[in-house]
Amino acid sequence: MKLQIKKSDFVRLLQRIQGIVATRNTMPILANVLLDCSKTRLTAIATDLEVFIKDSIEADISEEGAITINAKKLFDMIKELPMETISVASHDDKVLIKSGKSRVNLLGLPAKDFPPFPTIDETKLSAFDKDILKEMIDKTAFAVSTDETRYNINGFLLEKDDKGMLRMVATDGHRLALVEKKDSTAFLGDEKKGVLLPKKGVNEIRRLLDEEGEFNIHVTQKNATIKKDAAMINTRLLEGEFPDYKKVIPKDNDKEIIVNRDSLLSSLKRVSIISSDKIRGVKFAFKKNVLTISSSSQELGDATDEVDIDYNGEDIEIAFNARYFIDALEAITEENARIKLKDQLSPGIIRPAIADGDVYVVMPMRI
Amino acid sequence: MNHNRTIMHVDMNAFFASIEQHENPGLRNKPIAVVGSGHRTVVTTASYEARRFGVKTGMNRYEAKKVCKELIFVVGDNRKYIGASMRVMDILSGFSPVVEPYSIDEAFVDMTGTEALLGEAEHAAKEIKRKIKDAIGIRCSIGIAPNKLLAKLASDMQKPDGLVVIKRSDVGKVLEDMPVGKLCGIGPSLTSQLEGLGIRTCGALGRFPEGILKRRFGIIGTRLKLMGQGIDEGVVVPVDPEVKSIGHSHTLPSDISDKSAVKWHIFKLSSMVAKRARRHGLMGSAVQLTLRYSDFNTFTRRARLSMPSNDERVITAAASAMLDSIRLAMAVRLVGVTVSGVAKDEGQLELFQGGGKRHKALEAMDSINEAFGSSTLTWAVLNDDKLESNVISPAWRPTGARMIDCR
Repeated sequence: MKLQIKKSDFVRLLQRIQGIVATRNTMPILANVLLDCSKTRLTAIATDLEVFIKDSIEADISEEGAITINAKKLFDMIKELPMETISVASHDDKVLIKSGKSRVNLLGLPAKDFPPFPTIDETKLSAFDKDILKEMIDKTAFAVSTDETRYNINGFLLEKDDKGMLRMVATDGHRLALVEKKDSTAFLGDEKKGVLLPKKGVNEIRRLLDEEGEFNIHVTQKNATIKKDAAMINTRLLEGEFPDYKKVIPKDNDKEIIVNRDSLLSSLKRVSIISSDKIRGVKFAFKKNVLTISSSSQELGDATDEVDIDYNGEDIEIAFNARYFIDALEAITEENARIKLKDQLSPGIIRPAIADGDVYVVMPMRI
Repeated sequence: MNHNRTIMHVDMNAFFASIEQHENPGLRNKPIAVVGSGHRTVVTTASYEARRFGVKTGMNRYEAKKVCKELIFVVGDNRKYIGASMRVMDILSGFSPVVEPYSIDEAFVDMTGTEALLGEAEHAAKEIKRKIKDAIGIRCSIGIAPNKLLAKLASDMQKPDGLVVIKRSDVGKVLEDMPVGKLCGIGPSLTSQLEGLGIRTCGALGRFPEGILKRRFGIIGTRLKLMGQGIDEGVVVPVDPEVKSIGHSHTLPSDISDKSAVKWHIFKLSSMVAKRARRHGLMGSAVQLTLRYSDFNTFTRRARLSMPSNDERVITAAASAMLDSIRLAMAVRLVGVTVSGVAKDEGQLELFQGGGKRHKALEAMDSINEAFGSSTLTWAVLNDDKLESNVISPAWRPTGARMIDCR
């Protein structure tokens, strides 16, 4: 293969695939990017075997061919090259890169050993509203479990119901985030009711969603594919069953509190500083129209804050991990939040005061 | 580090046997051996009279009877020994706030700075011996020295009923011809390895080139040389050292090869482990299953829990899954369940798996058992069995998570 390419284009192409390149892996070739030139385009592909990313750019190609090169080293090198025009040529398993007075030889591995990008029936791709997906990811991503042994909650549940609603749910076993939107664009096609999207794949998709353009999606039994122009992300779906989240969203929480989101947030951030534990336990005492938040630590001292609330029910004292509460409040865009509680040991609900779509469920801590 | 420390090591002489002899005058001055209750039991302690015949800890009944025909076997009562041990520790706490229970019948006491109040440590030691004799009727050996290593050595030098002081100025003299194996931490294997280097006495060890010791033994080489010189910087740690794991094991009354029977024991042991973790506000993040086969080969497997737990349901499930994943090589004689990666239970409740309700139920069960005895309320399948351990492990401590209910 032999080509000339603009540095800025090449950097952008390589940047796109960096996130998925395996840094430590038993298969050395997964640390590489596959470069493939044919006709007028240079295509780059990277994978960790769960997520595949592909993109391509215009290039001045004088000889077709393909090779794999260490993705990180190539990216770092191209960024540092002195001139805007770069020439790339491969011979055997080596790549010679020239720019201005610089010459770099990089050792690679043969392209035929690289895992192939899954075949996709491009006619099945259908357009969707990227802002809906973006909002749903942003409002639930914090609740996804980071525990890799809990593979069934190590991602996002995306499902639709008969009423044409699209729902995204994430949980880590202590709290849960749910966002519901009217689905106008048939996200999941016809055959699928719900899918489990892995965290890593969604991270890549989310990055792509920041760009402008037309987005398409296709979901099969095993994979989900998102396409925007030449860029394509294919992620394997998680196997296993997402827990029955409907069962843990309480329906009989009768103590309802309205609170200004910003003032509760800043109080929580202050008070939770005084907590030495890994889990930042904070005590909430709800009384008529006033909420007292407090925390204490044997080593550090204690802190108390009062927040005005709209509440007429009986007094209730309950403890939460401040982090869970803060995450939920930060995902709420309205001025006021609605908190619904039952008792000290039952999950609490946090949602926007007016809108219906978003639900955050947080399990308390023992006092 | 204070270089003028006074450390005391108190060692109960033939602890279990002495208690039995004190309680039953008929056993006094006779060779007795304390054994467990099962028929596959071994000698846990022999009285001094029995030791003279060569009865040793770890012998089975048959071996013991062979060396001493008149030997009297006494089935041990662990609860009694624990009670006695706690009284001893209590007495020691009256002499210094820094008491480190080293096992059920041994303790280190840091006497540094108590002279103004109690006089010479030797005087305090006599007082301690008298108080222990008055309270539980048994004798002990006490060693007094500038550090733990030497204090332990000193208490070993005169048994029973000893009191040995190693003064700072006498350390070299005492150690010069002392066999290395007398030092705590140098066992038979290390002793023979040192002998291979021509080192038999502490004096020789202390003079030996450090470089050779380091090449031969790695990082402990330096420590060995210091031990030979009688130097030990170890402090007396009054609190329970941080617990890293909580476990129970059980030697079965007879070998079993039926997996479902093994699972019953797993559940029983998991309940004991979980109960103990909850009592001390701890959670484990991994579960280890131990199986000892009838040929004494031991199998262990460990699984990480997706979330730290102190719920027997979770611990049992993890241990049983490990059992399911293997084929039993032969009949099993011992089953053990241990949780490791132990950390403080922060109190965060689970959203799924019953959440707050499950917690309430376990809490109610624990408090009922606390008030009315440890098996008042238990799981139906375990109903015909008592839930306590019947062996005192060497890691036993009178307080904290290592305090195990024994019967």
